[in-house]
Amino acid sequence: MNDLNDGMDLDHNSFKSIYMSSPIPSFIWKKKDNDFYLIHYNNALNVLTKNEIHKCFGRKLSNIFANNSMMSLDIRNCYNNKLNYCKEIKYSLGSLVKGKSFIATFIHIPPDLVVVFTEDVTKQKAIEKTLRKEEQEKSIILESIGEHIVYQDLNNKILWTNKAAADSVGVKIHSLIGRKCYEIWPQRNTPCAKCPVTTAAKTRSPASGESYTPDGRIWQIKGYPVFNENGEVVATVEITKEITQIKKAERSLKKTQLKYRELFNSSPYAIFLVDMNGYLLDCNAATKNILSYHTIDDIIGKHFTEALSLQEENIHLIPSFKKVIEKIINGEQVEDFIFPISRTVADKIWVSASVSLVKIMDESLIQFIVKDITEKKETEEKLKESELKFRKSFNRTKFYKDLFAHDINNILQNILSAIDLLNLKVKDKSIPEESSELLGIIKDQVVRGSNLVSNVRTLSDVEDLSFNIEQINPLRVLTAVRDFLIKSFHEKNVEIVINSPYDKINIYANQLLSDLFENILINAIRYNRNQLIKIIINISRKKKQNGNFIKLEFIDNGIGIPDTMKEKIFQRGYSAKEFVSGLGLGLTLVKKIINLYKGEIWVQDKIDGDYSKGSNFVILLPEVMTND
Amino acid sequence: MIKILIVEDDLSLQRLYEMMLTTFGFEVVGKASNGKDAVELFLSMSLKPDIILMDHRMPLKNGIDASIEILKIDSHTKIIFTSADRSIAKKALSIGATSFIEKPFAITVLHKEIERVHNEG
Repeated sequence: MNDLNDGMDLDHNSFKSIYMSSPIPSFIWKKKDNDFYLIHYNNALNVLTKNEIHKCFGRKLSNIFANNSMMSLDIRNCYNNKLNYCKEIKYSLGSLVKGKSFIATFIHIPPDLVVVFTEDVTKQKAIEKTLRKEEQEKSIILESIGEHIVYQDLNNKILWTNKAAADSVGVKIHSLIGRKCYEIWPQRNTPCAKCPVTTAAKTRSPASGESYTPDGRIWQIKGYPVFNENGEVVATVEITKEITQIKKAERSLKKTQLKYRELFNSSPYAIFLVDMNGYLLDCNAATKNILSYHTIDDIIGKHFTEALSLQEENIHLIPSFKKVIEKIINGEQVEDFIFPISRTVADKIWVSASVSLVKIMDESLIQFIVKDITEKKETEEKLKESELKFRKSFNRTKFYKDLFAHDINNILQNILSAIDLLNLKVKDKSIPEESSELLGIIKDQVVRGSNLVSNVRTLSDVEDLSFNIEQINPLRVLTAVRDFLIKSFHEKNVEIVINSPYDKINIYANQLLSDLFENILINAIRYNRNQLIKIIINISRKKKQNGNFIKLEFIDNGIGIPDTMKEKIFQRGYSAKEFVSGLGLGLTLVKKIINLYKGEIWVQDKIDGDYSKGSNFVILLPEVMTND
Repeated sequence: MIKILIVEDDLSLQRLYEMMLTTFGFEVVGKASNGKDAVELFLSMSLKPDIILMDHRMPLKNGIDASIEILKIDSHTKIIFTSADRSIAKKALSIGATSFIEKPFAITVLHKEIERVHNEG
């Protein structure tokens, strides 16, 4: 202690030396009269003013600094009030120290001295300013972040939080400082189990987890360790984000996805999703059943053309699918389309497909919903068939009703009129000249009626029964029919000539062939006003692209058939809109028999351009080709 | 003498009508076996018939269509329809036919109808 006292016993020179060598620029002012005089300055001030201070030595304060300058006011204040104090000031000494910041210390040394230390803090101020700015920016950033940021020590004591953290519990930031985080958010007395912040401190690495607060909110917590310069964990940063809505949405989405997937998979319809490039992204279980793929993986990821090509029988569907996909991509509406699809070579089903554009997770996809409509299609086909049968049956009934109403009544009218006339003549006791004509008409009408009944039966047979088609010589049948008709119409002058260069010709026909010939010849006889009814039958061979035919031409001298009637005379049938009268049922039957034999029939004028001279009925029947 | 035009496609019936009409003392002034010929014949006749005996179902032109054309030429023409199809009776009368007789009918029915139609003026 004594040593220390010895050391403290410094002389004037020592103090002066210390003063002069002080690193803080300083000057000493002496009060004299009403002003202060610069009586000392140290080396540091000399350096600061680049040796210019010596020019001020011994000069008055009022000459060096303006009276209202801070330096001047503070020196006077120090002296007058005998106050020692520090303050931040700016002063200029000429141009040398202009713009610099100083911490000035004013010391009054009684009785008449004022010492001023002016520590240059310009650099520190600049650093402070930068730091303050950085701090402000950091603060703005941290305050504007929605996540809660809590800086805490290793005992979970809160050292700092951002505004969002304080707002989450409705308090001011300062009221959280010093409290334990687990008391604030989970409202516990002890730290939370598996706290990610504690884990981060222990493991020295970031950790994360989820936590529920008593109010039902869900939080995502991330903990980060904070290290000191020695690499020791000294604190932690907790960043917490409320994820209640996200979690709810996630759960809801998951539920919806599950529901959709369940619906997707339990749908009885095949559903598959194709991207805009035609690749199959997904399909449900029914796809496997309906389209008979071994596994769904057979087609997932494949282009639709490749998927369809797996079964060769389905390749023809590719253009239709391509067109549909193009339409969908172009934003056009696509109606449901029906097509047959082969599951295996032998297993073909009918399906109906609805195609639409759907958006899944912002991605536009093409959705195909395919229904197996085989049963429906078969029912429809049966219904159609049944409707056709019904329609045919209805038309047949209508046809027969028509036939009987018209043809039979005309026959009856003939017979009745002839009998009435005969009776009238008998009552008059006059032997009518026309008696034989009237009786002839009655007989003719009976034959006509009988022929009609026979034709009706035959027509019904053509439709309902399948007759054995065999090789028949038409010449033989034609001759027999001719002979029969000559006998039947013996009261009329009928001549039928058959011209055939061949004896042995055969066609595929059956017993209906005689009905065919009979009807053509009866018409030729009946619709003829000539005394001599002349019919010439020419037989020849005709080669056509589709085979060899026997050509039979029945040329008569009857009343003829006008051009407008030439096609209609064969059309008296169930479906003909117009009732064609005049030629009875015979030619309809003829046409049906010829169709059965895969032949052809048409009528032309005997003399071109003048139908009234008679007709030529031309028949082509396929010839049987033999080796002889 | 009442002048009659026969329009009937059944040639034997046409002949029978001719026989019975002449027996009753009427004059058959023409015969046609279809509607088209009937119209043409009617147009060509300088002395028009008093009554036309008209069938309906005939080739080329049916009785209704032929009657419409004939009545356009001469609206006073009296037309007696004879048809087995009674469903056209209403239509025949509506287009201007004088009467309709359903086939088959007794010749006395036709006789009386011709007399009645003619006497009605």
